[in-house]
Amino acid sequence: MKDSFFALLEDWGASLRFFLRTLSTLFLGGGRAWRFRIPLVLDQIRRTGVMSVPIVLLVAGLTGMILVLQTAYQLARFGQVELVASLVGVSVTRELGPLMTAIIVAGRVGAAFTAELGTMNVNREILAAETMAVDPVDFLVVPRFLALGITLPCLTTLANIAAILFAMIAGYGMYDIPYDTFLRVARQWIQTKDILHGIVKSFFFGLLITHVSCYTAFSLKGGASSVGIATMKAVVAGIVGILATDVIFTAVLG
Amino acid sequence: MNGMKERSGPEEPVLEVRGLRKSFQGKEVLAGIDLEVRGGERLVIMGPSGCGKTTLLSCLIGALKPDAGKVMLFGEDFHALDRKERDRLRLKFGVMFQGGALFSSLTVGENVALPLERHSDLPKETIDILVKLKLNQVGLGKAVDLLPAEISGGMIKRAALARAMALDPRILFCDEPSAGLDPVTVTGIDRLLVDQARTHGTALVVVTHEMTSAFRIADRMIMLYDGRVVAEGAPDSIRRSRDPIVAQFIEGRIEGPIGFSETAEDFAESLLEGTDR
Repeated sequence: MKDSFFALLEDWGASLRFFLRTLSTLFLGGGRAWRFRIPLVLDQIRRTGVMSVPIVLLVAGLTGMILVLQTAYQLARFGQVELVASLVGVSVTRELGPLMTAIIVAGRVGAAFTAELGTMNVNREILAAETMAVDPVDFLVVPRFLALGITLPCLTTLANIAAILFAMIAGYGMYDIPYDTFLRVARQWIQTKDILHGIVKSFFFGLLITHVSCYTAFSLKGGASSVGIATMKAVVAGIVGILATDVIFTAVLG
Repeated sequence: MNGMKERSGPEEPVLEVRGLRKSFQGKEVLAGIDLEVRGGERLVIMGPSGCGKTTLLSCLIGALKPDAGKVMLFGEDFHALDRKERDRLRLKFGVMFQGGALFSSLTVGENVALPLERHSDLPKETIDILVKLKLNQVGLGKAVDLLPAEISGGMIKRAALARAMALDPRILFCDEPSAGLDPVTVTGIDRLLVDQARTHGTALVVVTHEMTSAFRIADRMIMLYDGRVVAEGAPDSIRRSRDPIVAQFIEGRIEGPIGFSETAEDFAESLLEGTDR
């Protein structure tokens, strides 16, 4: 028990050191470093962002519809069915949009990061980079860090739009709420700070997912089976980390 | 040690190892290694599985930090340097890993180009020409656009050699360059290594337990056993050695001081080697 506790502390310490190394590599790399980074970042944006769009839109759209079907039914009893637009709008932009998108990305992209980098670790590719004086953090982690920091807020914005759009369709189809009424009510209730709150949160979720998945891959020891275990751990830790960060954000920013 | 030391060539040592020790979970894997390699020399480190070869190589290339002792590369204590200084020295040596360790997401050409792009100001056109030259040297001129997954094991080793030689290093470390390859490919890779040393004056440090390959490459050999150097000398003197460990290893006999069976504990320890980077 005592040993496990100290092992956990040691692991957190190593994780913090890895995070600080990523930040220092990111900010202390000169202009030459950016020449190599930009193509790698663009490639990661394509792989992590563009290719995640369909699944994010699908899940967000379905969630928006479910929200309408669940809440409009009860609001209709009070003759306030159009208020469903405010409920969907605020809950999606503040909480559900960023949270749902981050969880999808943790499962899809975070898992891919850990599996890919973990395999590279097992095959000694990370060591090979080091022996060529190519910093593996700069080469492999920083581009992913930047890419997900950029793409997650973008994906969250798309998820928000998709959820509201599909909610609008469901509201019209099931409860005859006109599109213009839905949009008017939603606009009345959604504040700019709700949207910004969600976007800022999603940026930190992006950094968190990248850090957890890359650290897990870099620190894994053993063979191919360790990659599977590490991937599972990274996804679980990523999702728990997202929820914990969300609690902190909600408590601090209200 | 059986006193078969031989030194040749006027070159200064490019690698000196003094009193190198490394333990894993209380078990001493390297028990005080001393060795020296001069420019253009071809040193083969051989020994049975679990004798500490891979651990030694890991310490030499900076993948493992030794518990005691020094690794002097080009006169500088490698493990006492900070990351930036170590990287400066890393430009002077290349490593050919056992499995190749090519970046799987990059083509063969991009793998070879990577160190050139990162550590030189050459224009892309010049780098492309150099990549083709390096790949032609190892007979892979037509594989420049292929991914590592699309080429054979022997081609991967040759591509790894081309990448390791991209910056014309002064020392080339090779971990089991002939492991898992057919005899013709092994001969080809051995010849490439020897040619590299002869034409460019590159010092070779080759870890292997394949005796045919070892005798073909080496102009000096050391034998590790139980974490110690038990024999050192020119290939002919090693071949004639009466040391029971050396003789048993070269002849591949089961009977002798080198145990044939390995306990589960030994196996677990051998797995732990090279994992505390």
